[in-house]
Amino acid sequence: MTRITHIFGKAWLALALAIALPACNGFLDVNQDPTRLGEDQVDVSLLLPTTIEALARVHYSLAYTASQVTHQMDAFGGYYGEFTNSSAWSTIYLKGMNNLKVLEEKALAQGEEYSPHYGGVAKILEAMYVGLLTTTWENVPYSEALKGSENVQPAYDAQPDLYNRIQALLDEGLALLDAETSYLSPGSDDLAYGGDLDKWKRLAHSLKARYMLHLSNKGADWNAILSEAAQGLASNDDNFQLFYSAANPNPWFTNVAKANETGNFSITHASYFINLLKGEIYPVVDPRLPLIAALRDGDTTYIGEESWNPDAPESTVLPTKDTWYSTEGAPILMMTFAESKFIEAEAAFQAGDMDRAAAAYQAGIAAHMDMLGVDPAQRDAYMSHPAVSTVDLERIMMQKYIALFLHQEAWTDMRRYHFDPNVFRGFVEPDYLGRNQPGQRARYPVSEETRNTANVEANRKDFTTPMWFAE
Amino acid sequence: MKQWLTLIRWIGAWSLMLCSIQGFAQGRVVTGTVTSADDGAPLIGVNVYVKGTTTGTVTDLDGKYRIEVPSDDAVLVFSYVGFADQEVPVAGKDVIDVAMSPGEQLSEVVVTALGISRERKALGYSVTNISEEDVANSGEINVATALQGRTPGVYLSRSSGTPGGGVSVLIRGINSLDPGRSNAPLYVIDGIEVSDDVDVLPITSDKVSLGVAASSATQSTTPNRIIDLDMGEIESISVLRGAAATALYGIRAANGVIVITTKKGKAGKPKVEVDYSSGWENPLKVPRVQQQFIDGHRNDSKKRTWIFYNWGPEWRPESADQLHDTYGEFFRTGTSQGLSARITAGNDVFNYRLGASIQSAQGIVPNTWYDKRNFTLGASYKVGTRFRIEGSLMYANTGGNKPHEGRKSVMNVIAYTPNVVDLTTYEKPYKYSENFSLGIIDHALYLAEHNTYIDDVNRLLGSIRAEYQLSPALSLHYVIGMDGYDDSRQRNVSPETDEGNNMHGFVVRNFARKRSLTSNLFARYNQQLGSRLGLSLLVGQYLYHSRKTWQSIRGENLAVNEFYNLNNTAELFQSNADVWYRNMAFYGEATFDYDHFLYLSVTGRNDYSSSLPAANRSYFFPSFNLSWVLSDMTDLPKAINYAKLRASYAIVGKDASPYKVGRYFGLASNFPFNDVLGYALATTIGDENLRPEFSRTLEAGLELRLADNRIGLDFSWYKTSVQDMILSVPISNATGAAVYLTNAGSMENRGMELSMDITPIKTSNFNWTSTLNWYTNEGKVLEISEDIGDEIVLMSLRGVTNKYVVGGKIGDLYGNPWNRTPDGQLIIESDGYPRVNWDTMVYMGNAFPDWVASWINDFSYKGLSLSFLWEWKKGGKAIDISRTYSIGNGILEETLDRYMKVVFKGVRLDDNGNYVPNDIETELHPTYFYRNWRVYRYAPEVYLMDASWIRLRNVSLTWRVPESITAKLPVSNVRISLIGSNLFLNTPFKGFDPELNYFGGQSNIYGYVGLRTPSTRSYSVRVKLTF
Repeated sequence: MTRITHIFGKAWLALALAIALPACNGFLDVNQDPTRLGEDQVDVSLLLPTTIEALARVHYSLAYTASQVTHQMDAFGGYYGEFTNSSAWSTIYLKGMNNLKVLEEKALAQGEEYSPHYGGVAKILEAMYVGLLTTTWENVPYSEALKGSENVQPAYDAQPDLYNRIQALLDEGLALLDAETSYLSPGSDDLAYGGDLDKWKRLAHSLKARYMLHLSNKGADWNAILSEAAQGLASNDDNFQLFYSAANPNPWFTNVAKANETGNFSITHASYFINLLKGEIYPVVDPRLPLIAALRDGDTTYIGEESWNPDAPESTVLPTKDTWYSTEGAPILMMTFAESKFIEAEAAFQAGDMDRAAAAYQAGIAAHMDMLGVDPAQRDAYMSHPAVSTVDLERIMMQKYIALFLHQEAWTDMRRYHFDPNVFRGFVEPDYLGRNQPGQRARYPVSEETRNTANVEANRKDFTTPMWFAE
Repeated sequence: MKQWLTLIRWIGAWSLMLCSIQGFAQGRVVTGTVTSADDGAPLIGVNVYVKGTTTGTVTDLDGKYRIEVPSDDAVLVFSYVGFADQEVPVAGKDVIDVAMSPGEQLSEVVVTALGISRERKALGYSVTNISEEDVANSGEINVATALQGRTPGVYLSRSSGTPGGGVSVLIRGINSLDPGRSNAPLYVIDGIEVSDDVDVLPITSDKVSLGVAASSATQSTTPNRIIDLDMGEIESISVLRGAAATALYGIRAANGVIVITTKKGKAGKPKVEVDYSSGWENPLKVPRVQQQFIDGHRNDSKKRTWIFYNWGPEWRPESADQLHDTYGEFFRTGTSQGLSARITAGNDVFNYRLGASIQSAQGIVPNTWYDKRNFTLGASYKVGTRFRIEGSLMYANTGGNKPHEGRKSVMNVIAYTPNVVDLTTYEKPYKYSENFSLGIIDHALYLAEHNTYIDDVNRLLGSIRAEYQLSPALSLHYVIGMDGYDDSRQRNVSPETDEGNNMHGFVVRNFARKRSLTSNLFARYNQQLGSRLGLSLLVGQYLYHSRKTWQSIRGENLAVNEFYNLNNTAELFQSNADVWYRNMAFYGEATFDYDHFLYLSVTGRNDYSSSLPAANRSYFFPSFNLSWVLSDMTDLPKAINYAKLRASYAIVGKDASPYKVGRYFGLASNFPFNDVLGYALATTIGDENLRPEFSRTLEAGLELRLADNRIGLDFSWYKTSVQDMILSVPISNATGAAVYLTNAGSMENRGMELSMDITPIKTSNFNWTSTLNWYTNEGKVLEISEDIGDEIVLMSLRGVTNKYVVGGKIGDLYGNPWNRTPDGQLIIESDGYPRVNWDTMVYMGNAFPDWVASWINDFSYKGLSLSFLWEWKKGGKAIDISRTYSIGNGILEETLDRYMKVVFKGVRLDDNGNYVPNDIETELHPTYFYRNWRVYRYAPEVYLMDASWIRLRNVSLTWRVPESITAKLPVSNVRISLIGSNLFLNTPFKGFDPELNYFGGQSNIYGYVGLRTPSTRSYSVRVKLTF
């Protein structure tokens, strides 16, 4: 018995040592998440897809509200109120710009792995994010943003500075893309262009034109815009867009088409947009109408939603899983050849170059119709109709408005022209619940109101107060 | 008391020992052996002293003692915890052998930290014990719910009335302001830390919006894992509430500890117990469905859209529609059955215990069930007199079909179902697009039958405990144990339901696994330092390792309807997690005992935690506790049998959750995207200099026993303040992150706890004891980092916001009020209705009760015993979120005033801009009033209600069949019990029983109820046979 206890006595000692030893040998070093990558492990090619997908998602969520302001869409539950677009705000900063910052830092770190091509693409994407930010909320955190815990209440940059920054980012992007060598270059991780750097360059030029044009009320340089547009997107193949699939369905499909189908009514086409396409504003029926809007079962007349009007007839149209913009695999369009052409048309028109304006106008309509797959004969018949073939500012803007269906830029255009019914013929802002002015901006998100209060208060303006660019 | 005596036998004689007291007297030497009268085993450490002197000694490892006595007429006193004192006159004898019998003793023994049994009188903090019988007679299958009403300071909330539903336990309130941190106590079974995790795994698809605040946590109830424990194996439960009581457990015990001691094998001939129970249950309280108006809108029935409107014409007897009480008809009677068999046998050297148990329950929601199977094996082996080793294995297989809860669930559907719909049947084949509401909501029965969520948990708990008595004064102890479970779940969502229609049905398979290991090595040493001063020391080393992994695979788009397998799904999505955590510590305790009336304990513990930055991961914290037994120090008036004052001060550190420090890139949402992977920076930033947080607790208490021990009183007061709290601080998203985890706040909990027991009648045949527990706890928010302003919003739903505001209390609820004049009069607008002010939030109450009391009465008469447990929760508000639907849809009796012309009491503005009494007549219109969110629909003043209640929680009547009968049967003991739960409920809360938290087990959000399977009233019969 003594022998047994003696053995046990020694066992205690051994055990005590066995327990104490791991403490010295990294027993506690288990605070690294095996399901996630560390900063050293993450690669630029793993960040680029995220920032492109987030950008497309933001285009969707901003267009969800912008399209209601522009009366492309209207909600079943009532006319739009003062929105904040908080999900777009958080996606931009928490999925888009923060990852772009890491991507840029990694790509542009001097050394063997210097990858200017990734850096250039990142700068262009960043410019687009800043563009969406400032056209939605006007002043937003930029130069003090993305500093983590170092600055938890970042100050806001003013819109004029942000527009300067957009142009600078695009220039920097173009310069980087011109680099002859790059340790890494985008490939299949480039969800939009598959690594075609020429397309990225053309996109950058079109974007430069777009953001110069935004300042049309602030003295735009039409020739500069025309010059950029000329180097911009060259065909529908250059469209900057993200295609979805059954596994990753288009958000318009999931949140609008499918939701409407299953009784969770969200938004549908507004009467203004439907009336425009069905020939009530201009005496021509647009062949794009049935491709964009489907009739409800049993209905034969296209009637858009007019939620502010209790006496309006019940709407008959829906975006469905079969209409072009809301199929499961439909792309989210971020910058199209058509838009680029309409930018050119507007600038040429304003610069007095009517031939160029007409050519660009025609090319813009055709590009959009071809993208939608309109029958060429119907397309040509429509384009040669006198209500379409005449080229003036009103028609350029109207055709651009149609081509920018479900796009933030349609809102920007309307704001630039102060929702003028002479430009956007027949556009009426209803008097609804005490508001008779259209939305000019999104309110700052509640998260920002509560967490960055002082800066919000310094920059907050009324929902219907025009932004600097739209003054 | 009896269970403690049994307990002592297995814990071993070493556990309480008073060391040799040096004697100086000259005279005769007496020797002898002290044994247990029960089994003849020698008793180690029995206190032997000469009556009226300080001369004494203790028995050695063989139960032997040697003592010098001053004279022949001396009297020897033998005292041993759990045994009746014996006095033996020396009367010239040289050898005095004593056999001690277990007996009642004033000095109660309780299980404290590390499973160490100690005399209650020596403790400077409060501990509550819950007996085997109380656990068994609770009629519950989750040990957490068995705590209900048995101890002050413990607040329980359930997340569902379904069998196998989750439970949250808060001991002395919420201890962290971080919305994401658990405030659940630590469970320790026989020295092993066991998981009580609530594993909320992803069960929803992102292709359908379930609505505001809906998440995987609200869509089903998730059991807290302590449910796996076999209730029949519990010998006792000790609830260690304060920081001084839990100081030796360190950081993992910051929310209190529930120490469970299981039954052990006993020496003697084989003893077999068979226990059978059968029960049934019904919904305790459901809203009342109006039986006057049918569906539609005013006179127009069966309108195409919004068919869930129950605002139609009056029902007429000649109508083709039958009226239904939807809430009343839908639920069925739940049933339950249990069978267990346990055997124990052994001798002085070896004994064992074997148990098997099956519990099965069918819930009140059709197609829901829960099964629990347990097997337990325990054995103990004694090698000589110095070494003892014990081992046990507990296996559990638990799981069942949980009802779909929360948004779009059965409970949500019923709140939308007009009274003309029969919920007990539906037309087949069932088509989503053809159901009574044309694809807007589902048929509750179809939903219950098809959208299932089944879990299947296999759990193994194994432990080895060894103790080695080096000398009567010094012992070594080692406990090592493993707790592991695998939880496999499947959720099916039919394409013909609202949740599954968008993606044509989906299947979720979840696999969670946890392994944890606890190792505890400690030595105890007892030494008398003089005639009056005793010292006991304890030093130890502790290790804990845990790893939790889970995988979730969701398959969407079923090819073949009603074939629920991932092979049948067109699109697959996965997510997974792998969480490691380790903790190591060195700890020690020194207890000084001055003349058995003054005890001072000092503890110290140094923890090392894996989840903190390396520079800050080692930290030390001490505790002190003092017990002063006045009645043993001096003579008190005769009426006072026992009086003790106690005080303690403890500091306890707490670390962060794993992986909070560091910069991580996780798989981005919506990825893989068309075969391409994308990673995204985590949106939580951890402070690289994160430090542990510390709580400081001051506790004081008083224990009294009066009137011949007929009245007992135990009172505690405590104050805990937490500084440098680790907080997830929401920050501006423009920083590139949403949350910053840093030391950023402080809070305080204060409370009082009172336990009182009275024995009004005590005769040989009839006994009546009455116990009253009462407690109050108030948590205050003292400081929140300026970076985030002065508040943390936990939840904002239906106009009611649960948030922490500096200077406010934990559980504060704010809401949007109706517009009122400065003197508080309701302002009525020109349409005759008041308006909710959605721009202003005012304080509207607190979700936690002012106090909670329970009153237990035990009566026994010969073989009959009867026990009542009443509970009274006073105060605390809650909003039933299902009610905003059922009233908005005209379902409930509260909407019978529809279309009535009323003049609201209040004021209106006259033409001169003055407030005058309102005289505008208006109509209680469905659209403009009941469904109008500006007026009534989500008006917190309507829906936020007092959730106080008084309930008869538990009644049990047990009859022990007399021996005159059992003698003729092949059994030695028969007990028959009738048990009832929730037999009576009185609450001002309308609709459901307000006990069920919408946000689920271990969420920190309080004040929201509804959309949960209702709680039940249950009855059961139990027969226990002992052979």
